[in-house]
Amino acid sequence: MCSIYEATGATSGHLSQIRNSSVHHVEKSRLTSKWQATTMCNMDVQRVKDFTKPSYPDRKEFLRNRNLLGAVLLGTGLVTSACNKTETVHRTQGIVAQPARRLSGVILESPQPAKEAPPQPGDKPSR
Amino acid sequence: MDVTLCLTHACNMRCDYCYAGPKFARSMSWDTARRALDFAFAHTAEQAERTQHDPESQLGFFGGEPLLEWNLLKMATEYAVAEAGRIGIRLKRTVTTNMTLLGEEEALWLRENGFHVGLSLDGCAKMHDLVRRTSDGNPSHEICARALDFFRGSDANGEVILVVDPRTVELLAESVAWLIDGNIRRISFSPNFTVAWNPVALAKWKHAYTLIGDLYVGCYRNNRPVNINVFDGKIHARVNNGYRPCDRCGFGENEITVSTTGNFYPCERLVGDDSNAALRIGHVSDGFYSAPRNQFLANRGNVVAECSVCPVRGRCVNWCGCVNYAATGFINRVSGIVCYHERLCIEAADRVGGILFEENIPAFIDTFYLGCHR
Ligand code: SF4
Ligand code: SF4
Repeated sequence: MCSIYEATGATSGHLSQIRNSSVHHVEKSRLTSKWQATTMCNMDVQRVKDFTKPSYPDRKEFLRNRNLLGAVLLGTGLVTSACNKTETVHRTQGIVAQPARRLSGVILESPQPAKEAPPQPGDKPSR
Repeated sequence: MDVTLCLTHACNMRCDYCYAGPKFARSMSWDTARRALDFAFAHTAEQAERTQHDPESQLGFFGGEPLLEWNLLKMATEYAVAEAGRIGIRLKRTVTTNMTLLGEEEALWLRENGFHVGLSLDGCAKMHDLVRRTSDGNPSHEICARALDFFRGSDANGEVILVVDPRTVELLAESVAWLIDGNIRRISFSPNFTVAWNPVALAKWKHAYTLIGDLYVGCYRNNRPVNINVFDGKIHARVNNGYRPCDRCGFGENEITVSTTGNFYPCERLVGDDSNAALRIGHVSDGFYSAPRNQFLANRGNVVAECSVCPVRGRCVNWCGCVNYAATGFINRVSGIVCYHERLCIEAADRVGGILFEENIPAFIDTFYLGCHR
C-alpha cells in the first residue's frame, strides 16, 4: 500500500477495490486512424443539461464575500488592527473565513483584484 | 511567438500510443534550427512592437526523442538564449523527454539553463511497462525511475506527463499515488483520444478520477499541494469564469512547431511523419504560407451545435485544434470522447474544489483565489 493512501486515509479501500477488480479485462485497443475513434466509441457530443453549480465561488464572489466578512468581523470587534494571531475559524454567511491572523492587514484594505500570475506550461488546459 | 523544434523522428522507444508517427533516422540540421529560431524571434519582436507588449517566447524541444540530439539541443539553446537576449525577448525553455537518456549531467544542464522538463512517465512500473517499451521490446521503467532520481537530485523544474489510455486506466490512481509518494508535485494527464474507449474503460476512468481527487484533497490537507492539470485547469476555469485568452494555445498564430525538414505546423501533435502537406502552414525558407495559415486561423474553435447551449462550455477545451483533429479529423469539431472527458474532469474538479473551499484550506485559497502559488 502506498503511504500516501495511508496518509490521507481516504482511499485505501478504494485502492484495493480497484486492484482486485482487474476482472474487467480491457481489450487491447488498436491504434485507429483518427476518424474511426469516435465511431468505434459510438459516442456523440452530449447535450449537457443537468450540471450543478459548483459549490465554491468564482473569484469575484469570493472577494466580495471576503470584504463583506471583513466588515462583519470589524463590527463585532473580532478583528482589530492589532493581530492576536488567533487561529479561530469564523463562519459567516455560508463562507468560511480565514483565521484572523490571515485576515488582519488584508481585509482592511480596499478590494484588490487578484494578481494573475503568468501561465506556466503545466497550467495550460489539457489537450 | 512560441516555437517548438522537432529535433528528430528517431526514438529509442516504441510506445503503443505514440502520436509522433513512424520512427526513422532523420534529424534537424543546425541550419534549419537556426533559421527557425531567427524566424520565430523576428516574428516575436514584430508582434511586440505592434501590440506594445514585452516580447516573450517559449522554445520547446520535441521529437521522436529530442535527447538523441543532445548536442543540437544544446547548440540551439545557446544560440536562442544569446539571440533572445540581444533582441530583448524573455525566453522560456521546455523539453519533453522519454527519460531514457536523462542522466545526471543532462538533468543538471537542463536545470542550469532554466528548462521546464516534461517527463514522459506513466507512473508505476506496472502501468508504464504495459505500454512504454524500448525499441527492442524491453520494459523501460527501471531506466526511467533512475532518471527520475537524477531529475529530483538536480532540482530542475518540470512535470511528469502520464498518458491515460484504456489499456492502463485501471492503474492510473495507483500510478499517481506512486508519483506523489516519490515527491512529484506536478503531474499532467494526456489522455489518448485516438483509441476506442469502451464503457468498462470509461467507468474505470471515472473511478480513477474519484480516487485521484481524494489524493489531491489529502495533499492539500497535509499542506503539500500537488498540481494535477485536469483538476487545476478546471478549478482555475471556474474561479476565473471560464478559460481566459492566455489559457489557450497559440495554434499557428502565436505558436509553431518546426519539423526536421523545416516545415511549420500549428502544433507538435500535427507533425507526425512530416508527410501531410495539408497541415503545413509555412517553411523556414519561405516563412508563413498565408492562405493555408489563414484558413487554419479562421477555422479555429468548435462548430458542434450541442456545445452552444452547454452550461459548461466556458470551462471546456472543445476548441483545442490538435485534439479535435486527432479525434475527428477536423480541427473545429470536438469528439464524443473529449466531451465525456471534459465533463468528467469538471465534475471531479468541482467535487474536490468544493471540499477544499468548505474546509478553507489555506494553500487552496492562496493558489486559486489569491494567486500566490500559481
Ligand atoms: S517516447 Fe515519445 S516519441 Fe518515442 S515512441 Fe514513446 S511516445 Fe513516441
Ligand atoms: S462538455 Fe461536451 S457539450 Fe459541453 S461544451 Fe464541452 S464538448 Fe460541448
